[in-house]
Amino acid sequence: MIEFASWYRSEYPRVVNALTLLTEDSHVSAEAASEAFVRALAKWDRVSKMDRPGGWLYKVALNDARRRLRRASRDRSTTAELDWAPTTAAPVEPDHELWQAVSRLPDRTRSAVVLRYVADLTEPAIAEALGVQRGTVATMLRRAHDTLAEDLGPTYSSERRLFHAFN
Amino acid sequence: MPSTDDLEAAGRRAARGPVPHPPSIDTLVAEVDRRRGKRRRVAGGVAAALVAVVVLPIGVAMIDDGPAEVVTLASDDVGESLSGEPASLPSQNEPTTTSAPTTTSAPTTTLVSTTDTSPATTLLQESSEQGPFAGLRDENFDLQLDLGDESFAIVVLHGEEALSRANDAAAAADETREIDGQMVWLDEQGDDLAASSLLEGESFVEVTGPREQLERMLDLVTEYANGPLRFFDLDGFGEQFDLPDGLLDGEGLFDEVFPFEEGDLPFLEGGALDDFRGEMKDFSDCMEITIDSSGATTTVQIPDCELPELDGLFDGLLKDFPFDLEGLFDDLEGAWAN
Repeated sequence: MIEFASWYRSEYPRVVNALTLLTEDSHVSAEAASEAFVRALAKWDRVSKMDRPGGWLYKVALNDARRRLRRASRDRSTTAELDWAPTTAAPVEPDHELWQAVSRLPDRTRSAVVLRYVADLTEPAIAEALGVQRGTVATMLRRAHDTLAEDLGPTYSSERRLFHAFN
Repeated sequence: MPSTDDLEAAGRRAARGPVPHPPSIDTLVAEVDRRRGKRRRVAGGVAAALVAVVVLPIGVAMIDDGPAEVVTLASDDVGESLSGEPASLPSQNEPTTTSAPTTTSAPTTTLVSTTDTSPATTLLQESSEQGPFAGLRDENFDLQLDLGDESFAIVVLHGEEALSRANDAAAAADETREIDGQMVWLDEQGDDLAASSLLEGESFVEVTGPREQLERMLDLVTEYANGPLRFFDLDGFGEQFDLPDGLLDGEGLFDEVFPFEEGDLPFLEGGALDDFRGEMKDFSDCMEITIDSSGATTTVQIPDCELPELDGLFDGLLKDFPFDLEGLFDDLEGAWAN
């Protein structure tokens, strides 16, 4: 059984950053991540024994983030409603060009990419988080690769290698 | 074109990006405790609401002079209503097809066996159009209502016996309270409280149970006799949501309150709707009730199972929905807190 405190400390930044790439709202992402961890803690006896607690966590976090975004879109004056939630957030801007291309993917495909490569979830866990079949995840990831290749062009990878060689 | 290695490397860098300082573990624990406290209040509210649904129609005169579908049990009528019509009990010889609750924390065994031959044991959810208690309102009865580890005893008497018991109750009362024009006698019995009244001059009703719960119920009756409590009389809430089945069947209640399919609600989509339906199913499983009237006292058992995190769902969902169920809970909690 995993231990909550260490899981929380190691996963919280990853969850916030993954959500931020999906929602483009770091504040909502931080709140949704916190909410998901609170729910995980409340049900820790059950969550800790899950085969894929990460899938469950992201499912809760994504649902919560969507709700917050909908509420915020209806009422732009909405401010943080939970006094325990973080009050500041920082943007995530590594690999800007790549993530810009990812942001142009269809919603669910983008979610699959972020959950796979940022959240580091397995395909079954992604399937659980998104409520789709595992085969669907594999298909979405394959198509995402194709679309990103087309969008970024054939020179992207070699350019990145050069960039990282000098930075 | 980006390779898988490119994506993995970019993903790792993104995952390590700066984030705001996370809430401390202590803060999370405190939040969980706060929610558990709220859920306990909601669960207590549900329990009290069920008591209200069962008991209040008996004392319908306290709330509403109009006719109500009476929820009573006759200890000497096993599987048959007063009118002689079969009550909504499973056939004596046919196996009942019921499913076990998903939770296992119930302190009481609540389900009939699949080959049960006792006509006196049934699930309330198996009720017919008239409900399992229809037609029994004029009978004397002695009902034991088990809500988890709390028990309520409900006695209803009519005629001369009722007048005699009313006189005794009035003489023994520690306190007399007027509720909606109806005199109610309160008799402290250790940790329990007995509340009794003579209704319409001829029917004696006595409810005995844990003092705190009963006080809440009386407060509820007193404060909400003409307000939200109407939701819990069977003329109001029952008509809207087909009680008692509606309240006891979480999914049915969901369908009544949210008569939508996936996609109709902008804030309930896909997994969120599935989650909510799943939670409501858990809620329904928690609320499975058994009735055993094989002895002198009819016993209704309601498992004290762990309710799902309804408050979290309500927090997230119902703020967006015009139906003020959350407000109703707040009202009820406010009434009990005072």
